[in-house]
Amino acid sequence: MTQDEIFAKLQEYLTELFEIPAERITFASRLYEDLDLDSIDAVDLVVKLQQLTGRRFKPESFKSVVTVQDVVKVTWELLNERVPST
Amino acid sequence: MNDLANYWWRLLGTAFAFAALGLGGPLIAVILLPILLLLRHNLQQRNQLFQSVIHYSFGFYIAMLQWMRLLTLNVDNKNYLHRLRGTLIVATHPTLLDVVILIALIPKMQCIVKGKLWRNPFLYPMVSGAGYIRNDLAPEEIVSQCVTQLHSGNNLLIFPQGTRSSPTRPLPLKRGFAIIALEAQAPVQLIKITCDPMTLTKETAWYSIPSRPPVFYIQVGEHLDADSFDHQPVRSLAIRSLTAQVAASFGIAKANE
Repeated sequence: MTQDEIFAKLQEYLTELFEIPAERITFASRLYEDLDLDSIDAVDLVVKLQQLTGRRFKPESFKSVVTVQDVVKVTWELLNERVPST
Repeated sequence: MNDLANYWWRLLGTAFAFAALGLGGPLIAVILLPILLLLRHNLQQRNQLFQSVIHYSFGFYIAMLQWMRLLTLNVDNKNYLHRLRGTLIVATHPTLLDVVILIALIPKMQCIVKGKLWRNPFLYPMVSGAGYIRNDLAPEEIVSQCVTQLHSGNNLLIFPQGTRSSPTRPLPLKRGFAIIALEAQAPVQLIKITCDPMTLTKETAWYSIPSRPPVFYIQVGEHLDADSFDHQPVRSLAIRSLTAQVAASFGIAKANE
């Protein structure tokens, strides 16, 4: 999945979960200030992204997220994390 | 001359009222501290005792302010408010006295309180004794404690605007109350507080008292049963729907509009 594809998915989730018009969502949008999310919304969004990636975020990885771009970045990193081979 | 005398009486009275609130709290706390230690193992009993003490002290305080002619309190349906249990009380918040008035009117009231107060040696016995919920916990933890309180029959007071704001320029509602109401499936009672002339707002100093004694109106608004909540497939939409319903009932615009 490319970062643009993740962005498209994220845009879809934000519209579907939080009724945010798609045209208001850009890479630069700030989740709390511009898109009016709150901490409980963030929990619901994390659940959705974990379903998408099939992986779990580390609890601290979402803490520093401010913008849509940041969410795309941490999701992309999660997908491309090297899974230790057994 | 009469007006001037009245002004000075009310200014001194207001100073006294602020001092009484500032000193009365710690005084009661110090008196109750031994009971807090004695009852430290029986949480339920301790919380109920402290809640009652706060309820009656605030009742006495408001009665005193009325007796001193510093304000008039105009309540829609006192008996109804007195009987509420296990209900989420959602109120508008124009003045500093709103919380005092509502706790005086409604028994068994829980609140979410600044976590800072737990480090204040005078107020710690009060907030901890009553079992109030700290606002500096993780959001999910706050929600779960609120749900527990509502299910145990306590009422929970929330000012969804987050802080004091003028009725003419009201702050938009935060959604926390809706998260709690839906999670607990608890009834929501709206209360509209207004004050005329306005006083004790966020912007005014304590000594800038209004031209005449203010009248506080406590209007009992809509009662929303858990059955009436909009059933949405995802919780985030149900939360938004309930928030919008309450905002409409209060006549407050949504955020970002």
